[in-house]
Amino acid sequence: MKLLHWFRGFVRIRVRGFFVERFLNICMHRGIYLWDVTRRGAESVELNMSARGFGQIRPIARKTHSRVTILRKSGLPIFIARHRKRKAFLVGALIAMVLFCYLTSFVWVIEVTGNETVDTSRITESLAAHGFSEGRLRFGVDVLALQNRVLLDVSELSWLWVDIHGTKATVEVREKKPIPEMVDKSEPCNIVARRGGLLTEVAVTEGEKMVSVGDVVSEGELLVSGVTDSKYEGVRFLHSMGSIRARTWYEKEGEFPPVRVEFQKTGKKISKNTINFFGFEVKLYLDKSQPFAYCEKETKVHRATLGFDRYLPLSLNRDIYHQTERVEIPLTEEEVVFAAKEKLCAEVEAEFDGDTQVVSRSHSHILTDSGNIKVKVEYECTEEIGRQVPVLRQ
Amino acid sequence: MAKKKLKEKISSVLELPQELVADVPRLVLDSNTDLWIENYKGIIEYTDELVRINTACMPLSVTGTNLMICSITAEELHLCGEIASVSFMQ
Repeated sequence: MKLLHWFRGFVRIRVRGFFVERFLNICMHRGIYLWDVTRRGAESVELNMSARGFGQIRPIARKTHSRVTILRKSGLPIFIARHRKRKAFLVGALIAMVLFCYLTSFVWVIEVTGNETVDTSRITESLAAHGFSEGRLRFGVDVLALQNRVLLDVSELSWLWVDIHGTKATVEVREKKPIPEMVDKSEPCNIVARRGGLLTEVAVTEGEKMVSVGDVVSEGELLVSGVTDSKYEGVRFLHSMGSIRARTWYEKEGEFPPVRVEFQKTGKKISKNTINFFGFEVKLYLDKSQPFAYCEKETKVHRATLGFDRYLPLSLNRDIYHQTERVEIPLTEEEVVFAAKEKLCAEVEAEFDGDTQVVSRSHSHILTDSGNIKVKVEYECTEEIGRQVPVLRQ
Repeated sequence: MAKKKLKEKISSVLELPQELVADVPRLVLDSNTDLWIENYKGIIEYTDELVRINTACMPLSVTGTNLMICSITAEELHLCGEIASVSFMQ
């Protein structure tokens, strides 16, 4: 209510006389709205009245023998009258509004979420090819058509949706789950050992078993045969299948110097800034080469926003180059062994295939003549060692 | 008087809310700071410690300190301030 009155304009007046209450009653009956009425003395009262009502109070004041004085004029008409001459202000305000509307009518940021294996760049390229890229009008985007076309382009996706909030477009995708591979039972094959070891479990579902638990096998040895020959059935070709687990051993060794090389920051840094405006890049530096021999680069991007997703096509890229230097830190024997163990174990574990389970692990180290330390790790594991190999039929 | 009694009888039999039928004032009091009065005839007296209001049946007086009229319209009167008492007098 108060805001409405500000729009139309109102006055604060002081009414002085003997019949102030009568003044109030007459205003009330005539439909003049009064508010914030306070008593200021035995004969005077202050109140707020709408500007329209103020035009009608002369007869009322006469009837009640009251004197009316204006204390303050407020409201939009007053504001306009006072600033009537400030044309530049008006022009500036109008330009600001137009610019605001114009700049917020485009999509300035596109964010892609939900993709794990598919490259974001592929999705954005496909979107751009169908007319959806940064700098596009944010109205009138046919999301269903985009969905159809992009899903056809990028076949790994099963779902795509575009949400536009303010000037930011969020593209959500979901990838297709791969179809599980069906085992082709028509092709006959043998099972051979992928690695040597001591057999702990032999469970054959298809094919002729050639080994048994407790046998020591070497790499490439035939475990299950897909070619069977028996008196009753003749030669038969089968697609061997089965689970063959064995105990296997891995070892790795390496020689390590008793120092660690690190690149430490010296504290000196140089920052190179680039301003990106509507796609034009303005470099604020002249020297494009790396400033230090050794350095670490940190990049920060600041995007200008009008608050809450209303991104503007203006951003500042800061590349900060921290100078680093090569430092050799001496290590104790224990530290070297620890680090070496980590490295060698990681290498061994990278060679694991499938469901290898570690049974035990051990390491040993000796000091060499040159001051380095030789470290060896040994693993004992159980794993599936069968590998299917197709049989060539003559 | 007979008319009034008849009105009251009708409203009670039909269970209509009283404000639709009779010409009585309605007061809404918020804590001791705000008082809204609907359906009144006029203000008899207004000082910052006593406000007397005329209604259809009887005058009503409100006492307190720093009493201020927040708004006046023909339908409703809103009083603000520290209200001490609200009383009806014959």
